[in-house]
Amino acid sequence: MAIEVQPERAEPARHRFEVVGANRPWWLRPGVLTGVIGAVAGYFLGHWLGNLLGGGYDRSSLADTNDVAIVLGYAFGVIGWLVGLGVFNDLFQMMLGRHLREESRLLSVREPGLGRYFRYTLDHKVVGIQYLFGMIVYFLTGGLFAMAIRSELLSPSYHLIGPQQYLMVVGEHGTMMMMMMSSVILGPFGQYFGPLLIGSKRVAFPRLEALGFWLTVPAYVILLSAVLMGGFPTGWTGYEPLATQATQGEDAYFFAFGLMGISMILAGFNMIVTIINYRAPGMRWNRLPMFVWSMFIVSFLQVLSVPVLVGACYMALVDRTFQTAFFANQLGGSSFLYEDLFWFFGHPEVYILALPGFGVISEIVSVFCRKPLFGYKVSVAGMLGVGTASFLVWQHHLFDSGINPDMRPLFMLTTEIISIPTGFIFLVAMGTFWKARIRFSIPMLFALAFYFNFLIGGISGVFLSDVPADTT
Amino acid sequence: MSASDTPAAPLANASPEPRHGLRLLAGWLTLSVAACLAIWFAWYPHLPPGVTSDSSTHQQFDIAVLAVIAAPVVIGVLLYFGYAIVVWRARPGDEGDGPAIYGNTKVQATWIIGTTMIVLGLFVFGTVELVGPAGAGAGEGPAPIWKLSGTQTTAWTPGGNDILQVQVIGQQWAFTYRYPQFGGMESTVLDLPANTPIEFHVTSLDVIHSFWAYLLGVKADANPQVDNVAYTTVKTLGGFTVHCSELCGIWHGAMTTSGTILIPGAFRTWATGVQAKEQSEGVLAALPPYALTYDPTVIPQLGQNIVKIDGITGGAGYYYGSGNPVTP
Repeated sequence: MAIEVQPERAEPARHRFEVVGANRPWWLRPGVLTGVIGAVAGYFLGHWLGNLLGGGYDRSSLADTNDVAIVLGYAFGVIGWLVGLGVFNDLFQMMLGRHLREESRLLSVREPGLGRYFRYTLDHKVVGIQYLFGMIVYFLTGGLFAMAIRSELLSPSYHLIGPQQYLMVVGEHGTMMMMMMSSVILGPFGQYFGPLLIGSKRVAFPRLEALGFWLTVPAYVILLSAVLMGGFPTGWTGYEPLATQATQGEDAYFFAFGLMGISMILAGFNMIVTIINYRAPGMRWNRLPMFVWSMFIVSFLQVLSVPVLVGACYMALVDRTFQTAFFANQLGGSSFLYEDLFWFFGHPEVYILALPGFGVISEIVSVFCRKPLFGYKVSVAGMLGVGTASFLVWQHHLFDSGINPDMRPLFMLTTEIISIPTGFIFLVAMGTFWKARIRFSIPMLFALAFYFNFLIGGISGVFLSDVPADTT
Repeated sequence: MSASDTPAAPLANASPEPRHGLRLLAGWLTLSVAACLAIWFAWYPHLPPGVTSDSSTHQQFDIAVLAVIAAPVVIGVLLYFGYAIVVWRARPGDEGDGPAIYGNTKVQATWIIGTTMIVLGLFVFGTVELVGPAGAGAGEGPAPIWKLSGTQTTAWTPGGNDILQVQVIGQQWAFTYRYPQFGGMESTVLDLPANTPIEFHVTSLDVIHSFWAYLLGVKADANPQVDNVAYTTVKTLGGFTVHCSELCGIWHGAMTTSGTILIPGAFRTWATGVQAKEQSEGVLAALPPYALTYDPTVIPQLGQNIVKIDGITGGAGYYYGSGNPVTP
């Protein structure tokens, strides 16, 4: 277990703030601009290749569209985006045996100015801010879709948008929120504060970390491009026989979700190694801040559950393009398989959303109660329990589907049991509130609202874990 | 690290520290008892899904029991937080810290043991309620393990303990119902006899739908090539609605059908009447033979003229023509 003790590449003080990379103007350096150029070029290349490969299918001529071309266009477009952004520059330099330009990109103090936020910068704080703005944009878009839903629902008789468009808006809203928001705390706060809280200057894999962010941008754009193709009719879950039947927008859904999945896997992997290996000397496990524990556990959830989603998206895409039959019941496949794969990811996904929140509010309440957190070990045990048990409950999304009725009591048990470690979060909060000196600043108000909201969520979970009540 | 939670002795001229624990316990007990009584006696009879069938009665009972167990938990947490933010707020000008309580083994152990016992109790309760009433109306797949007791027959007669088999065929975007014990006749309304064990076989022709008869307490997903079995026994007479509860495309929200619960004699009259009518119109002969699942791509009757007779589609799909769907 190595702890980082050497400052990397310590240099004489006179060079400490030497600005690097300033010998070319910003529009000639790899960044978002060159990324967009690469993406467009890649999309055209992929689309052409797809037409070459898949243009002869009956399905393509009947539907007057070629899913192979669309998917390959997205794939090559993403590769072009990354190439244009300069993600592979270091890799190619190493392959050619040249020295890397400089690790100084790890410290963005060397590159002052706003431009570093629009480039493939490796400084974890810059990546954190990039994530923050990205998540704000994605959340805003999802929220605007929600406002469109609400506007349509204002009146039962007057219709703002037609049925096809409404289904599209509902699907886009759900997918934008669930897909993009899964990194809403791990991204901005985890990347920015994680290394700081463990006493490290850097993360273990800065290139993977930055790549994780830059993959969210094409995921967002690809998901939005579904709007141009009439949207997708499956909602955010993408259930299978309907997803194969759907038109082009569904390709955008699966591809964007898969891309976001890859981003989550990389971010999680990076965070695990950083927290294990880059803690400052003396930062023992039983001294880790609660937020870092939650980041650590969430990262395991991401690394272990998201590949299943990426697999499901991949299989669905080849079902749609290259006419495989993974999920086509009439050809020997199984729609149940898609449901199982999706929800095996889907349940840890909701804990990926919730656990960082637990970490954040544990930090907040101890500060604004002016007391140390009650029951540090209990809190850690709760988060570990939630993380572990989250892999054992997914069938509760499938209680009425006809899958394995004999397993239902088991999944009822595990779903009930997961409420125990979740309750520890409340135990810790209630203990911290005991005889405290509570100050009602804005973060504390948010934390109180979180407990109220999560009480509703947790108690309704008790009802839904019971199969008969769930059937109602 | 755990430490005792006894606070430091109060200042000599301050009032003694109030017994917070006792206050909270007293308030919690009062409110919980009141809430539980209110839930059980006032709210229970009005809880969903009602008492139309065996399954729905059991589900209503389940929800009431869960509510009675959940209410003290909710009240406890909300009361505690409400008390805390009033009593333990920082007074103006107070810049001090709270007591450094890192943990309390007794409190933690009590909480863990208490929540575990509640949870395990709920598990036992839930399993009993699932197994007892033959799966509680949930779809059990092609090989159900919790079945209703009754006689499997090929010709259903009222009065005895014969199980009525009803096949629910979901397709984009309608449900139709076939009764194999009445010659495999197909109906667009779901009429059922009261006080009879009913075995639903739910399947689909194209994408995943879900047969949700809310008042009957039955919900079973309809997957293509899968026969999903659900059981119930209806008790009261009256009408009910069936909705689709799995997103299946653009008109998913319009996939509703209605049904009526009749006395067994009246039901038999209705069913034999529909069977005779379809026989004379030639529909019965044109329908594909009754099977537990259908593959529209291989049914030989595909494209024949059986569509759109009284809304029957015969398991061949194409409820809507190949053009744009018409607003239902």
